Amino acid sequence: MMNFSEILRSGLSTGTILLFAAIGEIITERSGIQNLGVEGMMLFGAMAAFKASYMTGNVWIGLLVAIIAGGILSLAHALVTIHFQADQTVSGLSLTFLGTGLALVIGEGLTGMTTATVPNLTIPLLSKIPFIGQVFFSNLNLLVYIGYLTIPIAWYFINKTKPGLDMRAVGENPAAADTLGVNVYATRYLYTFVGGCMAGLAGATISVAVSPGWYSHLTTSGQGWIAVALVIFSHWNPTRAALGGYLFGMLRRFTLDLQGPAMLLGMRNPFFYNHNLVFFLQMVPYALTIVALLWGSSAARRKRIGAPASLGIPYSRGERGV
Amino acid sequence: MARFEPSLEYLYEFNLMSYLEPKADSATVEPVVELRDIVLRFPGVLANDHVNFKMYPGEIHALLGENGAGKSSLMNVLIGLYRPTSGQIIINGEPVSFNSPKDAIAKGVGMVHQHFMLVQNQTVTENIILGLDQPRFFLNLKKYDEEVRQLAESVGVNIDPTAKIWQLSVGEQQRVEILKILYRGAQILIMDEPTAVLAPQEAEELMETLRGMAGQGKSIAFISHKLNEVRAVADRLTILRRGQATAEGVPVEGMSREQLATLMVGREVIFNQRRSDKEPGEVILKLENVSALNNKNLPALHNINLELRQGEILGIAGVAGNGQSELVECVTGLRSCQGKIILNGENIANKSPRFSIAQGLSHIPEDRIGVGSAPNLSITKNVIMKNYREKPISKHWQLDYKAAKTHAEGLKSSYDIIAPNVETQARKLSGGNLQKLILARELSSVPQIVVAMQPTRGLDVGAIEGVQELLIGRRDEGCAILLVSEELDELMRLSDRIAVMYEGEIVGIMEDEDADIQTIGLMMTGSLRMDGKEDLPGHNLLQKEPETEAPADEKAESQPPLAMADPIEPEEAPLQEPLQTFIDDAKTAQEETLASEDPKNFKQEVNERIEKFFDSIEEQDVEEKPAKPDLPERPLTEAEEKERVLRKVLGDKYPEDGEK
Repeated sequence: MMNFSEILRSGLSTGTILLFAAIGEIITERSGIQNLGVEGMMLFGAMAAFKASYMTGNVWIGLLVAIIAGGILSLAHALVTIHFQADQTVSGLSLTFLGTGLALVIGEGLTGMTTATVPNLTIPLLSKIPFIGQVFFSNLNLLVYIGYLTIPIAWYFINKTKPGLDMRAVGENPAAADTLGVNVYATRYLYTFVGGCMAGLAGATISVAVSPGWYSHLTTSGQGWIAVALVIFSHWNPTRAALGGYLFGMLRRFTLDLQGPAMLLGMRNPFFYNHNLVFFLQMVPYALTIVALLWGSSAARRKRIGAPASLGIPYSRGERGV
Repeated sequence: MARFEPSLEYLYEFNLMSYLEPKADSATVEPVVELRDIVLRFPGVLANDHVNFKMYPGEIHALLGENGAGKSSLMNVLIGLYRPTSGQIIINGEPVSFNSPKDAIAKGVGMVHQHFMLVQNQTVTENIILGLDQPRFFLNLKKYDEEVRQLAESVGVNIDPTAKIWQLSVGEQQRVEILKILYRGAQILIMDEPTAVLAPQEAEELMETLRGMAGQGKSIAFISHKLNEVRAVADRLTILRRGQATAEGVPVEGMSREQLATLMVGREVIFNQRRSDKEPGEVILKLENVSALNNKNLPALHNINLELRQGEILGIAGVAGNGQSELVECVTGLRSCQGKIILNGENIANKSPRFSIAQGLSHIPEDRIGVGSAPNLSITKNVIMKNYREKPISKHWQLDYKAAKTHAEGLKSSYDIIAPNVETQARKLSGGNLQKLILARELSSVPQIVVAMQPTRGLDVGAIEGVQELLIGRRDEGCAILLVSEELDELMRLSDRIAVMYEGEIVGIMEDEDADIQTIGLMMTGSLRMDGKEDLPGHNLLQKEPETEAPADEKAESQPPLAMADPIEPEEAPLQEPLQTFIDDAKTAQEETLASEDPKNFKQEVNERIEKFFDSIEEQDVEEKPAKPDLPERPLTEAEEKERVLRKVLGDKYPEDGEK
């Protein structure tokens, strides 16, 4: 039978993947660079984490390698869009293909292997709280707890620190930041790199933590795109992105659970008898992603929901604006 | 280019003998800024040609010149955005070399750009501390809010440090820009055309602030092309023309407007252009009961009837937003409407712009960048936008770029568009040159009718003169011109007839001879209607006058289609009572005249009553407020009286630049 707290716990685990990727992308976009290559960076990171921990037997090295791998891949995007001022959408899409391709080639032969994984933990005191302790603080992966911490840290960094202020200013009005001595190019490189690192970490969260293993391109199965959509849904706010990530995670688990019982709410469960229907359910997060991307593509609406004003616009110094 | 060397006669004629004498205070006081022999060369353009510029502590130094004369370039050299090709920058006696604005601000030089450099959805404080070393990591906004508040108070500026930029008016945003520079400890402020974006009242406040800051010992460089404000605020001035200084550090006092204009433009500027007397020809454009909606789907035009004849300029006066843009869009085919617009016997209402262009219609739009040109395309491509389907530019199904280029080069020289070459992108042109480009395209096709909306807005005196000359020239050749403008002065000078729009209606049309600025002013604010004057003089006056008494909402009830988006409330409430008596008087007069059936007499009568009405207002003024001490000494001249009344009637909308 379906168990709400199980769905919730599963949502927290798989939601952490989306949380890392989405918050990383928020940081990148807040500095004015849109990186649609999250899917590629995630898959590359997942592969790197798995392969590194498989070869060294040390999962921590795996995590580190994944973070660096995602970051390095994102630098390709940064170089193309910041230095050569190419179109960010096109570059981001190519980055997806680049990352996916590299991951599949380098990850050849890893399928079916097992490796060390990030351990599960129970937080001593907090887990004693009735229900909440059971759901949120007991026997969850270490990375889930790190995800909890990431939310307030990201929020505080963006809104309450000097580098965060500079970052937002660069994303909103790079010319203004430039006249006041903020290095626009360096800022954008830095936060594109940070976003890439977090996408790499998100990939590692899949392959060596919450659902360990390497299943070639099915490892991420399009979650990078969901993360991109989450950024728009969340209005570039890390807290909302995290909540959205958990929600999508729960949705994933829910669609699995739905196939279990023969009876549902006193009726014949259609999903139990016809498994093809489940595919439609599994489509829901991706369909929502498409909706979000379409919805977020109107310039007027972007402005209203708080998209960084210079998102996607290359900055070149001294060019007279129109 | 030869260096500008004024002859003695020249200096004498323009009262510039002080040019030769060293300034009294310059002997004792060191200049804070000295630009020595600055040359700035861009590919194809010599922006500054051996310019000298000195600023002393506590002075406002105006930098006057036409658009593209090199004023902003010179100041961009001073703040380190451009590197001079040759020349020296000396600040407080020591030669410096700036690589970026950051270096300049470290030496106390800061600039307020014409386009504000502000982050819209951050607060005032966040914008001010952006890029500074001071909060190193954690933003303690409260502490900095307090600092900003104190700084603002010290220069007499009122602003809320926690407000987001988008919540502020343009004037307030400008104050943030000033504070941003002061917060960095600037002693030398450069203001790039600061009043271009401000309402007259805001501009006045800005002048006060600037004077206050100069009083505290700061030096302010004030870039402008507006003669009046330079004369009002500056101590000394430097005038640039095509990169050369035609006056260097001359005291403003004693310079007349004409002298300044001549130094700026390089020839005498005719402030009062006048068209030749000429009888208009056939009716070429006729609007019959045209109604239209605005962008919010609210009624914007209501039963407009207009006639435009060959060889006449019909001016449309009105406060912005009373349906003028919608009217222009209907005529040019950019907006759908009801009713008929007949051009040359063809109904062009709801037809494509291409159709009306084929009928000989030219459009000089209000928005030069968004509508009038394709900013990222070259001059060539912009000027062939209307005739690219015609020979010789169209060659079968191809474009003949050689022919297009020749065409563009011809227009560039005949319309005097200043640009390196015809391949220059339109957006790199200055405002005046961009307008010349649009005029070149629109007028070179020998139009039968020109619809011009705000053709001189934002241009400098030289460019304004050029545009007006071109329009008058076309009119004298028999072209009909519909001129929409908010500059009453311009309308009065150029138009053969003036129609006044108020809340989407034409409230009156008058011949140039009959038009006076007071009557137009009253009609613009909805206090007076004179429509249908040609049919039966005074008939509508009787019918419609009482309406003006009714509050806006009542009026809307009685005549639903008239309910406009933003009804402009009459600003001068105290006028209500005299207005009532005036209307009563007018009614009696009307009844009398209608009885005598003599329209001529009636017109005279009305004119007398109007005069009486204004007299009564003035009398009231004197009663209400004790006159200023210097006023009773000398009776006001007629022109001054006119201006005073008009200022009262029009309030903010009084054209500050207008010279009688």
